[in-house]
Amino acid sequence: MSAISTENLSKAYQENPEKPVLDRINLSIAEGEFLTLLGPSGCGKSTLLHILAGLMEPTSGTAYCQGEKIQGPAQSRVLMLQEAALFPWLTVKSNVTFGLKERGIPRAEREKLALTELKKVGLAGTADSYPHQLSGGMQQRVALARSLVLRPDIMLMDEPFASLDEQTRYQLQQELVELWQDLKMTVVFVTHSIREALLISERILVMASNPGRIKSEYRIKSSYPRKPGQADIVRREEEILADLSPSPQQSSRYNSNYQEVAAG
Amino acid sequence: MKFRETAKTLLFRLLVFGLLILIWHFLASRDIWPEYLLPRPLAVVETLITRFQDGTLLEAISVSFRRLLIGFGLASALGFFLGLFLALVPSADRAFSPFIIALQSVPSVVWLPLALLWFSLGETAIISVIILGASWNMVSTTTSGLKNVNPVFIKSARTLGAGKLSVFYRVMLPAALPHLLTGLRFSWAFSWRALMAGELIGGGSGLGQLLMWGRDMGNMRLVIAIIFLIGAFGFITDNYFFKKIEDRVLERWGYQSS
Repeated sequence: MSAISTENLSKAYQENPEKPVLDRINLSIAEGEFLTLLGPSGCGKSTLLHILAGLMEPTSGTAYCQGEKIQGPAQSRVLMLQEAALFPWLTVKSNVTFGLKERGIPRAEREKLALTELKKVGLAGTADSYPHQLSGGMQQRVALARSLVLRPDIMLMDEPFASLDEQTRYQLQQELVELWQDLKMTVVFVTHSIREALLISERILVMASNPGRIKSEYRIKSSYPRKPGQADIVRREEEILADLSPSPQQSSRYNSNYQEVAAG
Repeated sequence: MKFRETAKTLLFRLLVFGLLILIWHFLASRDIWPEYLLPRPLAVVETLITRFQDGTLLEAISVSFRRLLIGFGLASALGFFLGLFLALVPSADRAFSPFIIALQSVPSVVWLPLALLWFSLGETAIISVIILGASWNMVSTTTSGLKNVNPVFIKSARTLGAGKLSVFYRVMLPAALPHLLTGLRFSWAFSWRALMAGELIGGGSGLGQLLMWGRDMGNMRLVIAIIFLIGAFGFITDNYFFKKIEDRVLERWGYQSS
């Protein structure tokens, strides 16, 4: 049984019912798979992830998680956002225990679990700090710990590393891959960075916009850990870049426009 | 570094204060106005001391303070719950918000004639003027505070397994706390003003009434002494109580550098 699947899933916003952001999406994600949705902004990849998280409802079609219709959020299917969104009034430790408290786990145990999780992301020393005292990368690590401490079956990640500097980003990508291998969870990752997608995923679904749809699929068989300069990664990068670029028809139109402007 | 800055500010403030007193003293000593209209600063200080010693001021202050606390407490509670209701029911918010804004712009003293007719002279009239003067601001800050909680926090909480009730009291309330505190601080200032307006006209002992009595007796020293007390009280509660709490919360919430 697939971890996540969708059946003719479409989404249009009320303001613009004629122009769906997602048009009949059919996909199936295997248990334990690392899948990335890759596409330009506006292709609906983030909307799709929000629907899978249960934070948004599709206009038509259905999303399933382990065979059951998704009807709202669940701790087994956690969403991580581009902003770390740590609660500023709670210490790092209390942020990590947020979900555990919802489960009714006693305080002592909660804190033990949180500390173990923080150790995993290399931040055990910051347990009693407040979020604003941490750097962006550290905050995103805490957010990762806050989600992982719930031992979700599925991690939904909406461009979680997009606002980080290159170096931190690379580091976190590697750590995420290790955590994924370690915890054997399913990851659905959203990004607009081809390189990021190639460094971390087993499978990439390239999306196109107007309306948002899945355009093509790539399987990345290279072994982990992967490096940005690796020959096969670079080759795939060019391949996907060509796939994402506007069709020749469109580009010629842009060219002629440009010439007109230049001539005038 | 920070200590030096504070010391510097304090020094400047004291200088300005001293300068103002000096100008006052200078003007009062020139016999431009008769002494009973513009007393000298020292005479006012003298009055303050004797009135504190004979207990008049302390009694007036305690009567006023009691009314203030009751009125402020009721106004903030009422304002909070009404604001909460409007934040949770958007259609009610759309229907009521113009009235809230209109009521907010009505100066509290305007309610006094009505309050006096309804409740006659006494505590109820004065306290209801405070409530009518200080609630509306609390309503709108509560509503806007709760409505402007960053949606990212709510999303995160829901995906981490928080139900509706949990999202409300574990995320929305703490996220809106800085807003709520600002609301309380303003309500306090509004309550204080409404109280003075109420006491000036509404009677019953209290600082405002003592001030009126001073006017009737032609005792400008007492009037000025009480105006000074009113200002000082407002400054101290705002600057050393409400602002301190607000600053600490803002710092903890990470909205201000520590």
